[in-house]
Amino acid sequence: MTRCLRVALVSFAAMCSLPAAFADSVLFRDGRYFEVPRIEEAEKTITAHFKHGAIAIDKTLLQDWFAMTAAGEFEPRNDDEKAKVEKGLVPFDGKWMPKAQRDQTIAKRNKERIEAFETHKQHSEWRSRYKGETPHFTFEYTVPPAIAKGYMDLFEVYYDVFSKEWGAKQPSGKKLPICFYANMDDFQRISGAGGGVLGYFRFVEPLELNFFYERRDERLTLDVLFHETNHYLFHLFSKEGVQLPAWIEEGMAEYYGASEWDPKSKKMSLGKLQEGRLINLVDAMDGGDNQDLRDLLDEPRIDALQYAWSWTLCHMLMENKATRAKFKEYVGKLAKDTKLPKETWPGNSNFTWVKPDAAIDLFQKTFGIKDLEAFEAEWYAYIRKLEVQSDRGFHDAAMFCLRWDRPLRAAKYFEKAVEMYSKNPSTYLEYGQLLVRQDKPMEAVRILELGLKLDPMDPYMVRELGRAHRAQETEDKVTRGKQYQLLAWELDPNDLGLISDFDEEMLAKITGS
Amino acid sequence: MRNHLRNRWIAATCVAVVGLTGSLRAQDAFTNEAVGYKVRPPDGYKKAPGGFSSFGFSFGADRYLLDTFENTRGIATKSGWDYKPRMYTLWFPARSAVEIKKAELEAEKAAKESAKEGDGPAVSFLVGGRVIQSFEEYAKDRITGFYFGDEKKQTIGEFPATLRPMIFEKLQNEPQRWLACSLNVPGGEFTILFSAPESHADKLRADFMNAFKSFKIVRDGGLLIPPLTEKIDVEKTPEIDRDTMSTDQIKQILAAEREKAFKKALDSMEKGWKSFETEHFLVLYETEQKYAKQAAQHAEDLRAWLETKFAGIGDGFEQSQILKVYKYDSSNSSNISITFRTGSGPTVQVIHFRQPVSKGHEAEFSNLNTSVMSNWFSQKNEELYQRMPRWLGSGLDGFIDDAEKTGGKLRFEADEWERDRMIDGFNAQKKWEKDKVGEPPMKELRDLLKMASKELWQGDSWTYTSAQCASVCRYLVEGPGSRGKYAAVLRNYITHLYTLVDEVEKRLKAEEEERKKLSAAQDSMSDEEKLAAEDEAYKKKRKDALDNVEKEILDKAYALTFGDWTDADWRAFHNSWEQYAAGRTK
Repeated sequence: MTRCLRVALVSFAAMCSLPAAFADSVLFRDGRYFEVPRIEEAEKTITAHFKHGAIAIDKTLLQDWFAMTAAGEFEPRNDDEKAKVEKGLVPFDGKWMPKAQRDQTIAKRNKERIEAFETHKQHSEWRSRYKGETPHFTFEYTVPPAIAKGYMDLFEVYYDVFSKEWGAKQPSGKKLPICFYANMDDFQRISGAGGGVLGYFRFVEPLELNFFYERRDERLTLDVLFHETNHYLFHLFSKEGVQLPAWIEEGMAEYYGASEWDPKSKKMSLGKLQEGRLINLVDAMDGGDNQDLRDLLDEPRIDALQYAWSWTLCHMLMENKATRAKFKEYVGKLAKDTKLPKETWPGNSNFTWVKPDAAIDLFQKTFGIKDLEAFEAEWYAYIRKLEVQSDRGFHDAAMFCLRWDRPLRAAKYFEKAVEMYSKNPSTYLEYGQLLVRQDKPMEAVRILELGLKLDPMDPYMVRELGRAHRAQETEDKVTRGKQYQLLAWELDPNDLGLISDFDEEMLAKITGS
Repeated sequence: MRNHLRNRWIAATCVAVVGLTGSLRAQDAFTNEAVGYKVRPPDGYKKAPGGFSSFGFSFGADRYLLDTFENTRGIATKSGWDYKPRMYTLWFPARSAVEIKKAELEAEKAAKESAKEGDGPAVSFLVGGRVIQSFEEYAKDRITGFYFGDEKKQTIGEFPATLRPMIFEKLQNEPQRWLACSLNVPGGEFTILFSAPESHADKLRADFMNAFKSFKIVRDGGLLIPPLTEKIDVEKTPEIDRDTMSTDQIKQILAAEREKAFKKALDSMEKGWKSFETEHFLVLYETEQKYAKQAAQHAEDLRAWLETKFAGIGDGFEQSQILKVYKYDSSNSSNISITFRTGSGPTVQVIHFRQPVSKGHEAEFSNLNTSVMSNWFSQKNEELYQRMPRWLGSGLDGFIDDAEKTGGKLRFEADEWERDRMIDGFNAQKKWEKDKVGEPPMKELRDLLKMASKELWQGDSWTYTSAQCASVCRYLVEGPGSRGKYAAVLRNYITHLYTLVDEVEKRLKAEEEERKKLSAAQDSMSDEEKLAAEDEAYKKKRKDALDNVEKEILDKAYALTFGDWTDADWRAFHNSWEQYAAGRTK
C-alpha cells in the first residue's frame, strides 16, 4: 500500500479570508510540509498538537514553521514587566514594543512564510519543477533547492574526479540532463521506470539521467547517483558505439556507487564496501552457489547477484596497488582499442563489444594469469575477507534475514545498527515491529521512540508505537497505545492501513458516533 | 535486493492495435443504466473492453473504471504505430476510510453470527485496501510515465469541474498528452479521460470538450454508490484427506461436488446459453451447437490421449470440469486468446473463446489444449506437474498446444511460430558452427536435458530453446523417439521423476514437521540455542529453495535415465531428433 501523507494546500487568500481547518504548518528540510491544528515552540523543538496527542519535532529537522495563532497575551512576572505591560508594551524577539507593532510584524512574517510555502508547493509538482545548471549538467528537480544544490556540487566533483582518473571528457555544449525527483513515487510515476528501478541512465539519445531523493535513507540516494552517473562517465570514456562487458559496466558502477561524500569539504572517497550486496553474496557462497569467473567475464548482461560478484572483482582489482593500473589499462583497451576483434553486442545491435574470448585472453595476459581457476580461488578468498562494518550494512543484513524468516538473527543485526546510531528511520520501524512480534513490547517502545525522533511525522512509526504500548496489556498502556494509534490516523486519515486494528471504541472516537 | 537498471530505453507501447474500419456516422450517446449516467463519445468511438492501454498501467480488478471506448480511426504516428485514442469513464464515490472500516466490522460481525447459526448467507466485504477519493489520487496510484500539467477549474454543464492534462514524455516512442475532466457531482467525483498523442492533443480537444459537456446523470437519486458489502452464499468445500479416507469415500465426495457445481452452473447460466454433458465435462455454450460439440469432443479426445500416453503418472482423483464456449467478439479483441482454468478445489472451469485462426498459424483449440493438459496433469499428480523439469514442462506445453484433429485423429504438427523458430535456430546454428563464439543457439540434447530454467531461458537464444523443447517432446511422444530403441526413454524418465518428486515432497514435509517441533521446543532453549537452531533451519531452507530442488530432481532424473549412455549414444540420439525436427521445418 502506498503511503500518502496528507499535505493540504493552503493559499494565502484562504488563510486571510476563511478560517483554515488547520492553522499552523511545519516545513521539513527534506521538502515535506504538514498542516497541524496548533504548534508550540520551545527552545529546541516544535510540538505539533493534534486532537489525539502531540508530536515533538527537533528543530534541526525543520526548514521553517508557521503559527497562525497569535502570540497571545503576555503575563508579567515582576513589577518592572507589569509597568511595561501597563504602558501597552509586549516582549517580542528580545525587545519590548507596542502590541500593534508586534502583531504587524507577526502578520508580515506570516505572509512571507505562506508565500514561501506556496512557492514550494508549486515547485513540488513536476510541471513547475525547478531548473538549474552547472558546468557539465542541467538539472530539473522537485527537491528543495538547498538539497538540490548539495547534489549539484556532488555531480561536478564526481565528474572532475572521474575525468582526472580516467581521462573522460564531456563534448563541448553537451551537458547531461539530470531529473531529480522528490521521492520514489514521483520518480517511478513520472520517469516511467518500473517498480524495482531506483534510477536509470538513458544511454541512447537523448541522453538523460533520472533518480530520486530518498529522505529516509540518503545513502541510497547517493548510491544510485554514483552508480547511474558512472554509466554516463564510462559512456564518455568509451569509443562511440562500444560497449564494455557487463561485469565492468555494473561492477564499476557499484564500485563508485559505494563512494562517500562529505558535503562540507565537498570531497568524495572511493573504495568503500557495498555491504548490502556483500551480505547476499556471502550467503550465496555459504550455500555453495559460487560464480564461475570465466562465465562472468563473457556475459553481455548479468543479474542482481552477478552485480555483487562483479563489484567484488572490480573492488579487488582497483584497491590493490599491484593491479589498479593494469586494470585501468585493460578497461581502456576494451573501450577504445580498435585493433581488438569485435562483434555486435547482444544487448543492443547498435553497439559492438570485444569478442568475449578475446576479452578473456586479454584479461589473463594483462594480469599475468596462467591459471584462471587459481585466480578465481583468490577472488573468492578476497570476498571472504570483506566484512560488514557500517550501521547501514547491519540494517541491510537484518532486512535480508527478515526476508528469509530469520527473526532472531535479524534482531542481532538490528541491535548493531541501533548501537551505531543508524540514521535510517526504517531501522527503528522494522526493529520495533519485530520486537513486538517477539513479545518484547517495552524494548519495542524504546526503539520506536528513537525512530520517532528521526522521523516524527511518520504515521506508521506512530502506529507501531501505539501497538507496542497496547501489547503490554496493562490498562494504562492499552489506553496510551490506542491514543497513539488514533494520532497516527490523524496524520493520514485516508490510509485504511492505519485503522486496520481499530476496535469499535476507537472507531467511534474518529467518527464522533 | 536493489536492482539498478542501466538501460531503460523501453519502447513505450502506444496503442498498437491494427484498426478495424469503423463507420463515421454521428455518435449515439452511451448510457450506463446501472451507474446512472449518459455521455456522448466523439464520432468514431466504439465501446471497447476495459483497461488502460498505455504502458505502465497496473492491470487487474479496478472498481473505479466504468466504461472504455476506442476511436476506431487510428492516428499514424512518426514512429509507425497506429495510435487509437481512448475515452474512459471513472467514478469515485466519496467515502471515508472510517465508513469503510465500519462496514468491514459489520461484515465480520455478520460472518461470525452466521457461522454460529450454521449454513446460511454470509456477508462479504467488497472493499479493502486503499480508498481512492479522486482521479488525481487514482492516476498517481495506477498510471505511470506522466505528470499533470496546469489544471483549470471551470463549470461544465451544471457541475464544477477540473481539467487536467496528463503529459507523457519519458521513455516514450510517441509523447502523449491526455486530458482528464473531473466533475464534482453529488456523491463524489466523476471523471472522463481521453488519451491522445501529443501531436494531435490540441486538434482533438474540441471533441473531448464536447464529450465532457454531454455528461448527464440519468438516475433518480444520483449516480449509484455501490454498497460496501453484499450477501453471498457460503460455499463450504469439503476436505479430502487421502490419508484417512478410502477411495470410495473420496469418489463419493467428488461426485456430490460435481452435482452441486453443475447445478449451480446451470442455474446461473446466462440468457441465450445452452448446455450438454459429455463424459468429463459440463459444456455451456453460446456459439452454434455444432461448434460447441466439436470443442467438447476435442477436449475429450485430448484427455483420452493423455490417459494413454502418460498412464501411471499419478493416481490423483478427477475433478469435474465445466467448459464454457464463448462466441468470437471483436470487442473482446484484447481477450481473444484467453482460455484459463479458474477456481481451485473440486470444480474447475475451462473457458474457450472461439477465435478466428489462420491455417497453420495456430491450432484452432490451442489454448483449450493447454488448459485441458494442465488440468489433467494437475489432477493426476499436482506435485510432479509443479516440479517437472522445465525442458519437459515447457516442451509439453508447446507441443500439446498444437493438437488438432485431422482425419478423425489427433495430430501434433508444429505451428508457424515453432517452425519459424526452428528454421531460424538451425540457420543460426550453422553460423555458430563457423566461429563458435558465444553459446550455441540449438542445444545438444545431452545438455538440454540437464538445464534448469535459469539456464534454459537466459541469453538471446531462448526462443530457439523454447521451440527446441517443444520439438524434442514431439519427437519423444509422437515421433521416432516414441518407437524402437528410444521408446522407453520418456517412460523411464517420467517413472524416475515420479519417485524423485515423491521423495522430495516427503523430505520437505519431514523438515517442516521438524521445524514445527523445534519451534514448539523453543521455550526450553537458551537464546544462543534458539539462534543456532534458526541458523540451521535456514541452511536447510536455502538448500530446499525452488532452484536447488529443481536442480536436484533434474540431475538425478538425468543420471537415472541416461547414466550409462556413451558419447556415441548421445550423438545418435541427437542426430535422430535433429533429422526428425529438420524434416518438420519444410
